Amino acid sequence: MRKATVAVLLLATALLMQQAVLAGPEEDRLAFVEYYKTRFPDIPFAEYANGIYAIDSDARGQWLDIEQFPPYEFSVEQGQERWEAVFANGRTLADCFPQQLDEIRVSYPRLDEDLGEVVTLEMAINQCRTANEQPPLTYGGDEIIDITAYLAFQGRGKKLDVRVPVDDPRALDAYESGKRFYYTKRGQLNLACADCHVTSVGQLVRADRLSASLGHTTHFPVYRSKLGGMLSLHKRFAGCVRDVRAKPFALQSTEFRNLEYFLSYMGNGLDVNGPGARK
Amino acid sequence: MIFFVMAIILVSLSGCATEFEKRLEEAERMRVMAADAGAEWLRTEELITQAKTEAARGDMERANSLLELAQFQAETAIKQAQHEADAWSGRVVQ
Repeated sequence: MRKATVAVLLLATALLMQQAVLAGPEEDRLAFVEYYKTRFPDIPFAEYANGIYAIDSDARGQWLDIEQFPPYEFSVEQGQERWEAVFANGRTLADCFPQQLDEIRVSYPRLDEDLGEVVTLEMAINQCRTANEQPPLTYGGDEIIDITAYLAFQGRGKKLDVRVPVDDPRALDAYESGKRFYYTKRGQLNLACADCHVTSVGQLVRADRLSASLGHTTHFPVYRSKLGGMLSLHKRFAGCVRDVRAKPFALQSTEFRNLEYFLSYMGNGLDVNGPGARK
Repeated sequence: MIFFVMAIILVSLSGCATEFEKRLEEAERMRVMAADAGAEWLRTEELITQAKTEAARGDMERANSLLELAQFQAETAIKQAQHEADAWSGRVVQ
């Protein structure tokens, strides 16, 4: 009898775990939002677009001061010039994007049906350049970050609306791969993204508070004061991976693009408010 | 007599190098396995490179010590990846 009870309990646990793993993107997102809502009941959902400043009231004051004279303005201006630059064939980047200018940022990341993989805004920019016989820009370099800063600025106020078509196994695979990455412990410190940004969210790591993952992608690229320059989302991913003493993946690697896909989906409904300013 | 001693030293040194090369090959193989699993640790490759440098300088003790650490890191990273193949799902927010 006792053995039977244990067997039933084990089966039930296994089924519950399987259900958690197989939960669809929307169930995941709702659970994610609910988690932070329970953890920080006084913080409105929309505030998470402000990243760490949603939950770190001390740093928020400094950030608001910085926003009086935004340090990313130069990048936005440069980005506009680069966006409008005419290729040798007379075309521009704008010719590759069918969306309105302010809709481009929120259209990415998305699953490219021809490629069958996640395409980010940076990747789409380079696809456009290559199609127009221009050399691709270096991921993480100033030129491509400036363009994304300009597009993010133009898209401010639009809501994240990342689609994961549940009838497309390639989209689901990419989403699941990003989700798995997010919850997998790695590196010498044996930490998952979720260990810091879910389990320990709001706690101090040395002098810095750990941000919530809800809204992690809304404000990139960002100006990092400590670097004195702009930083792309994938460079931030690489920094986090390095921080747990694991070897980072390449910028715009499949791993990072899928992670961006998952995290962006989690932030659906939040305003895009990049570029941002961070410590 | 001197030639005999030198010959013994040379033979033993070449033996060390061969043994070292085998260990180097094994450490590199494990590192690649960890990398293929997407689980390579930050400094493993650097440790292997440093081990090669120390071996080239003739400091085999240091070279072997670095290699041992690299091998340990690579093996642990592989075990970590194997464990995480299932364990990650238990952390999903529900």
